[in-house]
Amino acid sequence: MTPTLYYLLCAVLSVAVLLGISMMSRVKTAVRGNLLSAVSLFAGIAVTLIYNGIASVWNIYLYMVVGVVIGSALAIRVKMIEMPQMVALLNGVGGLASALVGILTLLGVGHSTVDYPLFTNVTAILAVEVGVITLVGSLVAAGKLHKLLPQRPVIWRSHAAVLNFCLILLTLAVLHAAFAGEFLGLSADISLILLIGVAVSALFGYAFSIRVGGADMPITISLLNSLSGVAGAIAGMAISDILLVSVGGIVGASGLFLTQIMCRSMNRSLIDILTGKTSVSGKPA
Amino acid sequence: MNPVLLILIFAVATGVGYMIIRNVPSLLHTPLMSGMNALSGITLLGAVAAVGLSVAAIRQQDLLLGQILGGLAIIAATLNVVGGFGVTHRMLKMFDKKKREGKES
Repeated sequence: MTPTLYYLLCAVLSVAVLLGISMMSRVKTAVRGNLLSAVSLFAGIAVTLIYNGIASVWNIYLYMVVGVVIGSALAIRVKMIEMPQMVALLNGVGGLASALVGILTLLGVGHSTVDYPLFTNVTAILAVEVGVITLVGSLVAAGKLHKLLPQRPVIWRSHAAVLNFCLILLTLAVLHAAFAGEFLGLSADISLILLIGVAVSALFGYAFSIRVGGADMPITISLLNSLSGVAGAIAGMAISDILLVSVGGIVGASGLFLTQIMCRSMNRSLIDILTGKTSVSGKPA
Repeated sequence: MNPVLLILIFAVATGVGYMIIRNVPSLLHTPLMSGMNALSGITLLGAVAAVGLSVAAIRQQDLLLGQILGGLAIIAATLNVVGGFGVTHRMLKMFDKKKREGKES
């Protein structure tokens, strides 16, 4: 497959995904929109397999079959009433996948050549961080909806300080990844960066999600969903996959917009939701 | 690929994605969210590429790591995609039935 054809196919598939999303926002065409998105995603897999010349690697299909079996079993078995926590769980799993791709890229496994090491390192650690935040945040959301965790907003005494501290550490990890190596004579300690990235992101995701009340969880899940799209896009930047970047960007942006629409229709402000103010009782736990 | 180009693609996709959604009826909020969740499993492409290219790795250690972590990534992403689209389809089918029953009665 020539690069030109590949770029053309990527553009066509991105437009198909856009069309699918816009069709899904109308009741009449929603089912067809969903199918269109699904078909274009699977076409994307085929294109990636052929373009990278890896269609003959049989392990890929083995892993995919395992995923398909588990995924379809879950989709068929789940009760309608348990749907929100199911979506949260699936979303978290998607975040995990992005984080793993970021880790692999950071370790230098599984890509042909690195033309821009600085850009690749920075985007890879960002993908890990955003992916892990999505994973842990979604798991907490699913746990709350499934009544495994307390439904009330849990607010620690220094909640904001913990979140800010996490953000500073995460930024430092990214900066370390950027300035290590040739610059400043620092050596890039990849395992240290990864350790900080994963651990602190997990804490951030937990602190972020535990503060939201059970009734506001759907909006949080929508926000985390947008985040997992962004994680995918950043992972795409790390491995220079344009289809991943464009679809991730589309999902990230339209997910954020959907979050705003949901907030408006529930007559709540996003800040109130995220800081754990419920309309029933503002009592901190 | 040039980083500037990649960031440009991201910016354009973000802009278009933000504009594509207009007034969504509240009935469709959850299915749309679930559908987009399935789409965010697009990271599967990255996982597939990582596993496929790690086969050509020179060091034995890289191959093993690529297979374990990459395999886990493929399983997770496929789970997200298949489960997500399946769940969305079931939700949308439910609306269909409701509407038809409503018309018949």
